[in-house]
This record gives sequence, C-alpha cells and structure tokens, in this order.
Amino acid sequence: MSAAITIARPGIRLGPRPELILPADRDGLDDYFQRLLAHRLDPELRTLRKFRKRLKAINEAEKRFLAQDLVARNCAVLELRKSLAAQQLRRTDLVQAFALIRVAVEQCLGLRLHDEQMYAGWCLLAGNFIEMNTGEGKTVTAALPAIVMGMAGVPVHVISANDYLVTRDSAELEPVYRWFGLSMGLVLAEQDETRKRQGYACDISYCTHQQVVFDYLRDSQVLRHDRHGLAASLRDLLEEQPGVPVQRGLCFAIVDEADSVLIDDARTPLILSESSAGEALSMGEAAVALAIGRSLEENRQYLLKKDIRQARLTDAGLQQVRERTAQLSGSWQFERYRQERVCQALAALHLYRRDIDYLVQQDKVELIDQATGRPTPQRRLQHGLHRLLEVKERCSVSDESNPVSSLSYQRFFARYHRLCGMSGTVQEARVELHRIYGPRVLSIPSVRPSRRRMLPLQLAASRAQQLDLLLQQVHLLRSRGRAILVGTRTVRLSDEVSAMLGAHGIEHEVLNARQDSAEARVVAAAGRCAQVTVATNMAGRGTDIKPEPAVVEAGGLHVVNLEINDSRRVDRQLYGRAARQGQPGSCQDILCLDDEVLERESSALAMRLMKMATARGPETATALVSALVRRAQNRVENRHRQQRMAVAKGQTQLQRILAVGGRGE
Amino acid sequence: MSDDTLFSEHWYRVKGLMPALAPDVRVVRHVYRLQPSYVLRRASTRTWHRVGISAYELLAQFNGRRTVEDIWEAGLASQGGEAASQSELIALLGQLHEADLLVVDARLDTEEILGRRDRLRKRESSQRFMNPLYLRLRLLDPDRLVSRIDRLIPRNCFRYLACATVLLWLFALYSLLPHWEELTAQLGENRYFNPVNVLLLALLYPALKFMHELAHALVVKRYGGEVREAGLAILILVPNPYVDASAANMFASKYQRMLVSAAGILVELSLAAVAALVWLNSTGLAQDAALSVMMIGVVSTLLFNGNPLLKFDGYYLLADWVEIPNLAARSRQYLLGALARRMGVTEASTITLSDRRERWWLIAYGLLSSAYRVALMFFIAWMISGQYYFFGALLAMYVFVTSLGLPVWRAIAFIGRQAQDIRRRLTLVIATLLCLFTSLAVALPLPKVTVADGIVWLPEQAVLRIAQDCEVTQLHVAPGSEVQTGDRLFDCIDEQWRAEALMLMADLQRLDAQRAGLLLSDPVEHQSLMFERKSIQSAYDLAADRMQKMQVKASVAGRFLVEGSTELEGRYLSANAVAGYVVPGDDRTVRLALEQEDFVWLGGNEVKVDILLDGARSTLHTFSSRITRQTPKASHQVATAALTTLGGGDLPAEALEQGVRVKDPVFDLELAWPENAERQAIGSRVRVRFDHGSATLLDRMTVFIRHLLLERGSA
Repeated sequence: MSAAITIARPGIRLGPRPELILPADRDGLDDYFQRLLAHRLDPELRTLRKFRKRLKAINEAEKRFLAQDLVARNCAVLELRKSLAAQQLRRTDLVQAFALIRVAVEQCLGLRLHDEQMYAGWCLLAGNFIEMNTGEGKTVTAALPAIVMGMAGVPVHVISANDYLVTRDSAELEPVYRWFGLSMGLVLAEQDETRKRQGYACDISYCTHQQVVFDYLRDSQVLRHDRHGLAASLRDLLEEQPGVPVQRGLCFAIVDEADSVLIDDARTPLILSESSAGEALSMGEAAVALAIGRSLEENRQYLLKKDIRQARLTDAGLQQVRERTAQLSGSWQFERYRQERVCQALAALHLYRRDIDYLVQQDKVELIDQATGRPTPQRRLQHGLHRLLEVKERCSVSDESNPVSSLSYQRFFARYHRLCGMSGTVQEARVELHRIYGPRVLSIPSVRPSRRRMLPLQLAASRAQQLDLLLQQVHLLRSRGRAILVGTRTVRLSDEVSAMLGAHGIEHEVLNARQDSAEARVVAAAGRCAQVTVATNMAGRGTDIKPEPAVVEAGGLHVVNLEINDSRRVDRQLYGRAARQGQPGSCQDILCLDDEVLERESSALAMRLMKMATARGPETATALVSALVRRAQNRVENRHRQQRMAVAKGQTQLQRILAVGGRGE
Repeated sequence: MSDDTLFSEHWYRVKGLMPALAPDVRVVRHVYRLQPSYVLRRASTRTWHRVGISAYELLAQFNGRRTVEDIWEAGLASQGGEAASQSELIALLGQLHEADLLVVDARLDTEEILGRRDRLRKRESSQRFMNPLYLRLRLLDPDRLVSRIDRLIPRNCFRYLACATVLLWLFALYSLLPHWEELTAQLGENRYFNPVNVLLLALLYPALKFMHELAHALVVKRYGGEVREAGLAILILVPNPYVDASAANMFASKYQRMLVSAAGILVELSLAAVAALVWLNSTGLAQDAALSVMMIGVVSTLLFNGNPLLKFDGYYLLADWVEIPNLAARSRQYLLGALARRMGVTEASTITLSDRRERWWLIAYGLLSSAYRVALMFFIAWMISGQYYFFGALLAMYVFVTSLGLPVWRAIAFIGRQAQDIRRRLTLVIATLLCLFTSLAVALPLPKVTVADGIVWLPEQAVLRIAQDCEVTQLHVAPGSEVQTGDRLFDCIDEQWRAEALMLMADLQRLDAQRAGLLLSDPVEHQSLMFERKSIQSAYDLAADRMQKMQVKASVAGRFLVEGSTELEGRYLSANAVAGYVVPGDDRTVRLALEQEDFVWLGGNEVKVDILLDGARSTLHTFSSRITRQTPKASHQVATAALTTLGGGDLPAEALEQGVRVKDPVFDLELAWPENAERQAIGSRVRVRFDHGSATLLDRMTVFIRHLLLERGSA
C-alpha cells in the first residue's frame, strides 16, 4: 500500500483540463480487477481505532502550531503548500495540514473538529464515500479534503444537492478558506459565463450537481467534443481553442448527499438543449392526440404499464385511432407516428399526475423530483410529452427544445480523477456505488450516541383514519410543547394534511415544491415550540431544523412520516431531521393501506394480512406490518437498482452503437 | 409493429448525419424463402452484413446528401406500420458502422476507429483461439495461386464434371459390391488400425483435406469471388487446412453457394471412389493406401463434413438449400424464445418467420443438432479417455461445462433479468421440475435386469479331479461306457504311499510276531508292544484309507469319458488335474462370466435368476434358477473359451499358451440347471437374466461412475 495519495491537477502531464478517460471497451473481469486495484482501502482507514496513531500525530502537530504565533503559522502554511505541490501527497504533510486546519477552524468558526471528523476527512481525501449520521458536521468535514487539495493546486468541486445548500455551506466555510489563502467560488445557475468561469477558476468551487454537469456539457459544445485525444492535445499545444471553457477539468469532487446524486439521480440524463425553430409537436396536434386519448377506454383499447410509464394500444385501440384520424392530414397519416402520439397522450393523461409527478405553477408545468420533492423547472420531458402535459393543463406553451447533448450523472461522475462523497444514508448503496464508481463506503462512528426514539409504526385502513391518527398525535405533542414535522411524499398529500389541520384550527407551515421560495423561513421557524410543519421530501436532505431550548427540554422535534418512499434511504433522511447533534427527538411512521407503494408492491397475501391487522386497530401486529411494509419498499428498491445496473452495463454497447454519430459528450 | 417507442433519446446524436455507403461496398439481392434480403460486402475490409428489405429501403437512401432525420421521416411516410423507430435506425447505423460499411460526413474519432480495430482483432483472435477443439492459424493469401489453377481449368466444365463424377461413383460402387465381404473383413475390428495403416492415414489425411479445400477455393473463384485467407485449423487436435470462402456469401444464386459448400465433399467422395478402384486392383502397400483414402473420404464425409448437424460444409449446404441463413443461430433463438414465452416471459426475443415450413425446419434443426453435438462431444471424450485418462477427463470436463454448465448459467442469468413475478414463476417451475427429477432419481425404483450369455456346462461333480499326484494303475471301466453312481472307474495310486503302506503292514506283522511270544513271559513288555502296535495300526489305517481313495469312483451316473487323447492307464496325473468326466444323462449347469459392473449388482438384495431357453418355433421358455457357485475375486480366467470373442462370445479375450485370457477381469458364476427344463447339449448357449428387483437412478449412476473411474483410472 502506498503511503501517499496520487493527485491529478491541470498541467503538462494531464493537460489543461484533466479528466479520467474510461476505456470504451471494458471487459467484465478486467473492469473488476481494475476497480479492485484502483480502490484498495488503506488498512489504516478501516476503522477509527486503526486511525488513532495518525490522530495522535495530528494532535502533536496541533500542539506545536498552537504554541506558535500567527506569522509562524503562516510560514507553515506556505511551507506546506510548497511540499504539497508534488505529484503525490505524503502522509507527513497531510498530518501537518490536518493539524493546521483544526487550528484554523477553531479560530475562525469557534468549533473544534472532532477526531471522528478528522478521520472522515482523511477517508474523503483517500477517495472514499463516508456515512456520517445527520447533524454530525458533514459540512465542516468537507473542508478538510477541500483545503488539502486546494493547497496542492487541485481544482476542487464541492457539490451539493441544491442552490440553498451551496450558498449556506460556502458562506459558513469561507473564513477558513480565506485563512489558508485559498480562493473560494460559487457557481450558480443564474450566473453568466464570466462569473461562472471565475467561480471555477477558484481553488475551491461550490456548485450543484446539475450545474456542474450543465457546464461540462456546455464546455463540450464549446470545444466541439474534442475533450481529449490527438486533436485536443494539438489544439492545446497551439493554443487555438474554438472557445474558452469555464471548467478546469474534473480532478477532485466532494459530493454531499452522495447517494441522492449518484444513485437516485443517476439514471436521469442531463440534457443540454437549444430552442428549436421547427416544432416537433404543434399545439393543435397535441390537442388532437389528447382528445383521441380521452375517448379511449382502459384495458379494452389501451393498457398502461405503470412501472415504465408507457401506454400501449390494443388492436381495438389501434382500429379506433385509425378511424378517428382518417380525416386528418399531415403526419397523422403515418401509422406509427399517430400510434406513438396517442400513446404519449395516454401517458400524459393517466400516468403523469398533477401534484404528484408535476406541478402547475405560474402557468407552467414543472416536474417534481421524486427523491428530493423539489420542482425542476429546467427539466423537460422529451419527444413532445412535455407539450402534451402543457396542453392537458391548459398552460402557456413553452418552446419545444431540441437536445444537443446529454449525459447521465453516472457517466459524468465516473470521469473524476478522484471522487468522494458523504451522506447520512449511503450504507445501503455501498455495493452499487462500488460497482459503478469504484469508491468504498466507510461508516464514521457518531460523536454522541443518538437519542432518537422510533415510535411503533401505525397502519391506518383509510386516508381519513390516517389523518385522524395524525391529528391525535399532533394535539398530544403540541400540548407538551414539542415541534412536529409531518413528512409526505407527494405535494397532493401535503395539501390535504394542511387543509385538515386548518379545519381543526391548528396553525402550521407548509413546505412543498409550490412554496419553495419560503424554504429558509419555514425551516428556521420549524423548531419553534408547538410548531407544526408539513413538508414533502424537500425537508429531507441537508435541512437543519434547530429546535428551541424549550422544545429540546420537552423532548425535541417529532417527525411523522405519512407515505413510505421508494427507497429506505429517503425515509431515513426524513427521520434524521429529529434528534440532531445528541439532542432528544422521536420519529414515527403513520401509514395508510392506500399508500401507492404498498398497493403496487405488496402481494395479495401481504395486502390481506395488512388489512386484517388494520381492521383491529392501527397498532396491532406492528412487527408483522412493518416487515411487510419494508418488504414492499425493498422490492421497489431492488427493481430500481437492477434498472440502474442494467443501464450502467448497457452503456458500453450503447456508446459503441452511437459511435457512428462521432464523439459524444 | 415492434413494441418499442418511436422516439429515442439518443436521436440527436445521429439525426444530422449524412451517411453514405462506402464506395467499394457491393450490394447483392438474395431471396430467402420468397423474402428478399440484401447482402452488403466491402471488398477492402472483407466485412459483410445482411439486412432485411425495410432496412434496405432506408439504407438505399444513404447517399451522403440527405440527413438521417430526412430519411427517417420519409420512411415514416412510406412504410406505414412497418416504419423503423428511431432506435431501430440508430441500431442499423451502428451495425453498419461497426462493420465498416459506412462513410459518415461527421469527423471520425481516431481513437474510436483504432479502438474498433482492436476490438475486431480481439474478437477474431478469441474466435480463433478460445475453442480448444477448433483453433485456426492464418498462414497465407492463396488468391493468386487459386487464380492460376483456375485458369488451367476449362470454362463451363461443371456440367461434364458432374456427369463424370456421378458415373465414377456408380462404377466404383458397382465394382465394389461383389467384394463387400472382403472389404468389411479388412476393416474388421483390431485389424485395420495397425501401425502401417495409422501412418498412412496420417500422411494421406492432410493431402486429401488439401484437395477438399482447394475445391472450395476453385468454385468460389469460378463464380467470381476472392479467396484471401488460408491456413491451418486444428480440429479436435487434428490439423486441417482451411480456406476462407466467405466471398461465397455474396453469390445471389443459392445453387452457387451450395456448390461452394458441396465442392469439398464431392472431391473427397470422388477420390474415395478412385481409391476403391485402386483397392480392387492392387495388393500390398498400394492397397492399404487406397483403403485409407476410402476410409477418410467416406468417414469424414458421413460424420463431419456432410453432416448438417455440425457446423461444417453440410450445414451450409442445408442452410442454403432451405434458404434460412444463420440456421443454427436462428433455430436456437427461435426455440429459446418459444420456451421463454411458454414460461410466461413477455419480452422474449421473437423472430419473424417467412412461412410455416421455416418453423418446422428451425424446431427440427435446433433439437437434432444440439443433441447430436453433445452426444458427439461425449463420445470423443470417451474415446480419448480410454487412451489418455487425463486428457479425456479434461476434455469431458470442458464438454460438460460448455454443453451443460454454460447453458444452465445463461438460463439462470436470463431468469435473473426477468420481472419479479415471472422470475418467481420460472423459479417455481424449475425448482419443481428439479425436485421431481431428484426425488424420482433417488426414490423411484426402476426394474433392474441384467442379461448375460451363459454356456450349458457340466456340474462340478461330473468332473473327475485327482486330489494328489498319482499314477493310474488300473481301469475298471472302459472309457465311453455307461456307469452308475459309486462304480469304480479306475485306480490311481501314488507309489510312495503304497510303499509306505506296505512298510507299515510289515511293521504290524513284525510286532504281532514278537508279541505272541511275550504274552506270558513278559507281560509288561507285551503291554508296551500293544501300545506301539496300536499307533502303527492307526497309521496303517490312514494309509489304507488313502489307498482306498485312489480308487476313483463315479459320483453321478452317466457316460465315462477320458480327458485327453492318450490311454488313461499308466498315465501320471498331477494334483488337481482333470482325469475325465462322467457325463450325466440330464444333469447340467450353466456357466457364465460377469463383468465387474454387472457383478456389483449381485452383491445387493435378492437376485432372481432366470434361464431363457429357445423353445420350439422360436419361443422363449423361462426357467428360474439359482447361483450355486461364484468366485469371490475377479480373474482373467473363464470356464470355457466359448464365452469369449475367440469362441463366439462377447468378452474380448486373447489366446495365450496357457489358455484363454480375458482382457478385463471377470467373475465366474455357476447356475443350477432348472429341474423341469429339458436337456441341452453341453456347450450350447443360453441367455441368463438376472432380475435384481429394482434400483433407483441414483444407485445406477453411482455404480456406473465408480466403475468408470476405477476402470479408466487403472487404464
């Protein structure tokens, strides 16, 4: 095991924009061994106990630095930058750097980095994913590898899930970076190209995962897809670029909420599109397709495939469509074309549901990200499907856009020379992460034992009973002066809950895709005494609800989950809002038999068992019921995982076929 | 209509391309089962690709001036329900690009092109070297040589050649028929494979195969194709020349393609016919060589080249004849798809059939060829393991893995890919079948019967054996006469014992004489003499008894026969020797020799033994019997040579000086003659049926494998 960490930075060896070039043709076994070799785990990093020796060295160095004055410390920083400029990072240098960072953080932010955080920071630097319980200080931990790499001259991308977190985290850590003389930049969606270039030119850049891929794709366009290879090298040598890219290569990324970005979003390709003059689907055509779609009968004339969101016409349906379009002209005369359009219309009518899959806001259709509960205004469904939704909801019709390049997160993040990440819930995905990206997952022990209590699951027979149970719980907890967070998966349910609470005169705040502008205010208020907050998964990841002292006294925040999510990890994120940083707190599932996931994934037998249990009351046979609920959830998770793995596997083949279109992105 | 959606998310990558077919691509229209299809071949890369008519309609518009999007939209308008979806068109473009048939306006990625070249090389080399039973080494480009030979052959000679060939075959057959028995005798077991013949085979085989390949090449050349590759293929460890006749794929006429495939077989058969004529009219080495040529020509044609079930010439001949290109792959795909659909898999691969008859071809071919292939592989492994245990075992393992392990693994992977409910159903069905099969194999008793040849033989007491060395002194009965039980037959006396007995007699007399005088005078001395006499008396009794035994008596009634041709009287017989027989009128036994694997079954539970006798009018009478004697250890000896190949039996044996020696050790058994069965002549054959009651499949497998390992291992 080498004692040092090899780094990649822009320069002569790797060119001005280094990135990992994955071989086009990877054999199963080759790939396996290569991954095994590239991501060996340093034995020292296996557990915190094994890391103690290194921690001792760091503590000693820290004592030495504390004894020094400011000038001597600055000299030490300069020395360190010099010795880190080599191609490899030596352990002795890293010990110095970590000690200095601990000193700096204590000075700037007034908090001391725990041993656990130092260990986590070292793991990140070595290119691993870490699982750290929520509220253990992930944000500050990210500063450790970021500063070390920044000092070594490696462009660092710190990638968060959304703009809110980007702004918050970067502002929190800026003084520390400044202490080390490192520049920190923000890259946000609304910035223009020059600002973005400045942001990426900094030692440490903060951005969202969408942003970094979008900029990468735009750079690809600017460079006419010659990112590497002979042409690119020649161009770099002659300094004749067709345009100036904003990024400085993919050297080192720290991904916050790694499971969300690298797993949940992995399949959705990011599409760089340009507004097109020619319309793929005119409004009139969309209206016709919807009208025909509405006139068809389910099961007789069409079948719905809910899992892949596609509709299929039966023979009777085909005949009907043929008759209805006989009078129409243009592309309606093309057999396959009209079939496709009608199928799309059927999908738009029956498979995309308002307030669950998409929102209508300001006369626009915005898709909702299922994992984060946030609206994604820049995402559009392809091939005219978005247009159909717009016409269905009678919104103003936006410009049809043509994709010019697209890239999935899966393929993008695999191109980083060193990738690391952190999350509160990543253990479940460790095999998948290792298979697709390579890094290992390490679990960081908590500083303080968790004081979160998990109340037994309750399963209601109907939606009304579920809301009733919720109301009782809310009354009980409010009387004790605790804060309550009610989590839902869909916007629709959060609206229902809000209406119910309003009807009973309970004051509450709502946080969902529709109210996303008020996010910061709602989150800040959520920790107040007897406060009720109804939120979708938006209040899941990264949201830091700080309960008031009185609330902590009364037992902390209570989280109620009303709908199980497609993945256990998302549920755990929601529970993680309660009992942060050693405070007390509790959480609870109050589910309902009508739950979409339960209905779709449970077998007839499981459904009957659950019905029998609920008939006797919501709290009977909790062990059995929760096992059945978990089972249903596992099935969704497994299916999604298989799909993702299949996509990852099919990539090589697909790229080979697409090679006819020249080099991709 | 295909199930996939019309649009593809990757469309933007190709829609602006303006592809054109490479300038040196030749397109030929083929017709398969009344369906037109187009074969594209690029001469410079020797790559080729076959497309259907709808794909060709799109492809024909690739002219370098129209974009893919234009072409697709035009296809949508003109092809109706059969129009290609975007992903289908992308796949088509990808395939053509992969086969290097396309020139695209977009700048090509150098790395990609080089990568593709490496990939093609890798695939080729893995095809060449991955199958240890079929390695190919490219040696040269024979095109010029073939052209030169081609020029020597007159144009339009095929018709005359065909007539001449058929005449030659007929003539050879006609001349050969009267000598058929002679031929089979020469080819008879253990006679053909002597060192000289093996050497001849090794020398002639490559020469014959060279002619075979040359014939392929010449026909390809004659029809305007090119032959650009020739080399050595190592097929089941035997080197064979080969030529690359893939240019024949371009021939539009199926008969031309068929002739290319058939040329090798025709040449080999013709050479065999010539060799037959030589064989008839020559002697010595020339005759042996001719026989070898006949053997190679006929056997390799029947077993390999002419056999459509293996992927040699016969296969291509058949595939071209029935107009199903890729017959093997297609039939496999069809069968697997049908199986998967039967199991409830919705997205099983389907292939469109041109007509109903094609379906039957696919089913028949798929089933027959896979069965044949596996059987042949195991047979070869069996043959080799007889000679080289280790290699044979390795080969058998390889065959086992490729023909059983891999398909099972693929099936598991396939099931793993299915949706949950289908997967569960498949798993359930397969698990049930497996359980059923296993429980049947373990628990279901199946009748176990062994049938062996037996020889009607004498009972053991009919054989007159001598206990110790002695000399025949006197015959009491003339040989050949009838005797009764207890009749004295002859005396056989050991001189030494007779002398001993006489001496003892003398001693007794001496003692009696001494004793007579002493009775009164010295009673004490008399008493001691009495004791002495007693002991001598008992010794004498013993000797007399032995003398008595020397008188050989008949233990059964029957005819007394003497062993050997010389007079019995005065002959000196050694211990255990057979002096003669008393052949009883109706007392018989049955002797037989069982091989190890059959004998194992006798050790178990009750065995019912039946003897089958031919009755009148070819009926079989069954008589129950029992085992009276069996040797505890296998030996190379048998009761009579009639049980071995030397005497017309089944056991392979060789004649040695001491007698007959069976090759594999056997167990000697004697069965009681059934009481109610009528008498049979000694030495006549009977069938013996051992009914072991029942044995499960598992029992049989264990016995079989144990025996196999022991036997092959010791060999």
